[in-house]
Amino acid sequence: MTDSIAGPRETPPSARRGRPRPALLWASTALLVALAAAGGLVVGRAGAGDAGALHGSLIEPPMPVPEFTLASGDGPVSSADLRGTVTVLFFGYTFCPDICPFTLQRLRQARELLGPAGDGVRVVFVSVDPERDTPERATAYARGFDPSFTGLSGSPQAIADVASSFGIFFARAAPQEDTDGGNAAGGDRAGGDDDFYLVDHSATILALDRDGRLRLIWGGPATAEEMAADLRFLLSD
Amino acid sequence: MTRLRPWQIALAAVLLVVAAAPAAFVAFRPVTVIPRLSVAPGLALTDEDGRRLTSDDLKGHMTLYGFAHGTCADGCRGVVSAMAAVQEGLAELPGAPPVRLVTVSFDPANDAPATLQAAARAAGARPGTWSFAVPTDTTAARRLVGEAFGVWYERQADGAFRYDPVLVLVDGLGIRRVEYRLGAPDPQRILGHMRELAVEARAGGAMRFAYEAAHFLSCYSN
Repeated sequence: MTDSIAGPRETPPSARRGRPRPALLWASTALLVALAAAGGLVVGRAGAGDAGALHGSLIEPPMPVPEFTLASGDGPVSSADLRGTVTVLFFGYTFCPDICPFTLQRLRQARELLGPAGDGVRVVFVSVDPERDTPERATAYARGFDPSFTGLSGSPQAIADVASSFGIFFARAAPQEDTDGGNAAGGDRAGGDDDFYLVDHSATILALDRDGRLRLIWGGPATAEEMAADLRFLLSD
Repeated sequence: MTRLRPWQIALAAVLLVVAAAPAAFVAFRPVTVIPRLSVAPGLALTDEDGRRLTSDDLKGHMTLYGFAHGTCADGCRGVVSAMAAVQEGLAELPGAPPVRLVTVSFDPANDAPATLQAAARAAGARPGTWSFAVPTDTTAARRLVGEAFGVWYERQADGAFRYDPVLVLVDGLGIRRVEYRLGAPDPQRILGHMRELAVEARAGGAMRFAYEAAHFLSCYSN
């Protein structure tokens, strides 16, 4: 059997020369769109640092942080365990009378404001008072604010190393004059009066991206709404 | 030949510009930045007046850290003299950006506040601008100066120190931006970096966008 050549249906070379080839046109368009998308991604990411867009300070490009392992009441938690979610790190201590409970409360609210997306945010509280805050105590304290929160402690050396690597300082505060027989700061007490002391520490809050790299720093006070807005950006990053 | 419609041409032009923008930015480098190296360590020191000086106190300031000890008699291998020259040059920085200088002692056993005060006076340190400060003990000094800042120092049998002259410039966010480790520190180079960081810190709006793009695209200054 011989194939027939449908002569009349074949496009003459003269007519084909000036017509765009659909496959080439589509490929060019797709390539341009892909390049534009990549360019847009670059520009969009870089532009996200605009002070008007975010309330915290964006770290561009995200900054690797040293590996660490600390202890929770449920066992060891390493920096590798924090990958896969956006992680918010806050350093404080369970006897902290003011800034720590306020901050953790705001973080709980921020997470709630995110709705279901909040499940992608992990809040980690790291104690800077390892002498009094056992891993169990740190975990119970953090969970008191939100059952999803993680509370960590560890050896004084491990805590000092982790805190320093995130730019966090802490030091036992000088004893204060106690004129009314109680705690002037209104904080909880651990055992007798001799055991009571305050710890000065950075109130900085840090956010790590899903790869465990430092991405955002809230150096000053931020409201729950502001943190939620910034976290929304990190979740979409 | 089929002609493209105006909207198709416009769309192609927009796509081309967006696609080419990062490449053009990298090629022409309209803005360059000093790279962000790492987070500077958190610290709590005692200064020459016996007050606590913490990394939080320095947030919002460009901070130049130098590492020395209070009883060095030779300008601490150029560290203290370079910091003195930088202090003098601060007046020339446009816009008077907030800058702090901190000489961190790695000899807490001998550097009581009185010793640091004498060192600060001898160096011509201006209160509020340049502090001499010391970690709480030798362990804290080793961890902060030796490990966190990576400065080599060693006490000799005769009690004197051998050490590398190192200066570290940290931005207002607490990010390490430049480390001066090779040879004698050059105050003019340090002031140049401070000038660059001050301009970057002040940038807002479109320029902020450009600076972040430069960080993202690794358009670093020389």
